Amino acid sequence: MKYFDAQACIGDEIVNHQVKNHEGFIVLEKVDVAKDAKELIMHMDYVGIEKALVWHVAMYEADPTSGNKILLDTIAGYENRLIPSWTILPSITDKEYSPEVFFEQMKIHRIKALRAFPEINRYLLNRITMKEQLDIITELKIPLYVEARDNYDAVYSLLEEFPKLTLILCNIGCWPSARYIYPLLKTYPNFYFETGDFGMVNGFEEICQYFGSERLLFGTNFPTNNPACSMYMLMKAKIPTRDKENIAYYNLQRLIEEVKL
Amino acid sequence: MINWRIDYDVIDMHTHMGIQNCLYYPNHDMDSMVQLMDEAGVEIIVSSPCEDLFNARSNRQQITQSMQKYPDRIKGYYGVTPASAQVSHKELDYIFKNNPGYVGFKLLPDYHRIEVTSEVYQPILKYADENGLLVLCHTWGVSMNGESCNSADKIIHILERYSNMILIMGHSIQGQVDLAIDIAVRYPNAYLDTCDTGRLNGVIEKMVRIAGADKILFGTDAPMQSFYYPLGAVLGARITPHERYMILRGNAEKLLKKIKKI
Repeated sequence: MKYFDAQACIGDEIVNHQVKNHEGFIVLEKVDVAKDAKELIMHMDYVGIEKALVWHVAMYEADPTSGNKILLDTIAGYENRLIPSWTILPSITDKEYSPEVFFEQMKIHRIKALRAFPEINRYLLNRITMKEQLDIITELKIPLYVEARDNYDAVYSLLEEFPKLTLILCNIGCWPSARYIYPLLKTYPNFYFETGDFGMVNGFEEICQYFGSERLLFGTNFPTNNPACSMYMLMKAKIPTRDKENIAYYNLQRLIEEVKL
Repeated sequence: MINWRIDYDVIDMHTHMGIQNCLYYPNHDMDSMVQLMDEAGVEIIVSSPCEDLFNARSNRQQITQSMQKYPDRIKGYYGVTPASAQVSHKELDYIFKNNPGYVGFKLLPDYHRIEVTSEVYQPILKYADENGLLVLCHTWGVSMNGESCNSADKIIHILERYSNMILIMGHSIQGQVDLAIDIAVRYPNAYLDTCDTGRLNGVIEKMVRIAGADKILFGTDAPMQSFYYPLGAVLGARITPHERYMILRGNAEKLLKKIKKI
């Protein structure tokens, strides 16, 4: 089976790695990171992952603009296996993110997904702050990665305002989040989540039965997690092979191909 | 490449049972858990049901019935709350004699907001120490609510006092894992636990490198989490087959065999 990792991060951290622990709060710990693309590829090869949609820790820890550039520099030469994603900021303050500039840059650099870190970048990811940008992201079907931390209110509000947005929830935490996530899966057809932290008993089985296998994207949440965790979880799921293949590879591949940039 | 095969039955030293009210998860009763164990290749779990840890009026029916119905598959930790910690030596003798599946105690200091060093826990710890029992103590370096009640300094404090009980550092003092590893090196009766912390990339390798594979126990928090996800962490760790075996079975088997019947 082919694997396309929907959530992998490259880069050294300035402090210990932030881990969303099983109770959902942030703990700092040392983990083995991939300092560069070559190291990430080594980790991928060890577990058997073919491709990864990647981001760079500098996009979060440093600042999005320089981080986005660092990511491109870091994965240069490995684009056949590492697909870049960028962080976005509100264009009302940061002009380089204005639609006429930013989406053209995305097209030039073949960026197929975006990430928003509203808490760390101190803004509200909503219509008031980013209407024009979010309208275009929705229209172009660009997947937008959002972390929930423990604040699902923001995710619910965002999707209420932009119900057709392609939203990928990431870093969901290891204990079951079904009470938060199932209503979103039921209500919003373009809502997805990556499975890097997904360890719920019979979780794949339940979600495939209720909502279909198309809504799950295999992820590792590397380097927080050893990639073998989510891989073994999916391997052992009691679902048809076709569903596993969708989750492991084809759902993310389809989302990327649907981007209209 | 990873060898995904496990040629022996696994022992899981950190599980629960029943429902914790903040979460939705299926298959949490004893029969479902045994079915999940069969599917995942887990022979034995040591369990502390949520009702014993979060319900002051628990009659401990889940664990006592489970240990009776599945004596070779389900062992129990006597779940300790601040209220239930106030139990006499004689009462504990009665409890352990009448429920031979009990192998020790489960403490949740941070959830109960009582420091593990508090006098509240001393009768339990003293009893465990006198009888060489297991103590699975929840450990975090940081807390979700103020100062941690089970950080490394406090764990050292009780290990200095009690050298005969077997202390399993639940979650390996997540947030202070390096200190947990040091503790496992320094104290022969202190063990690391893979529950939640084992998934962190490179952490199992570090535990093995510094503390040795014989100081690590496999734990999952099942049924709050599938057996498979944490099993993947051990299977994916770059360690030898023997080290993997010690973590998934060997160490637990040795400890469980050592527990004296009271």
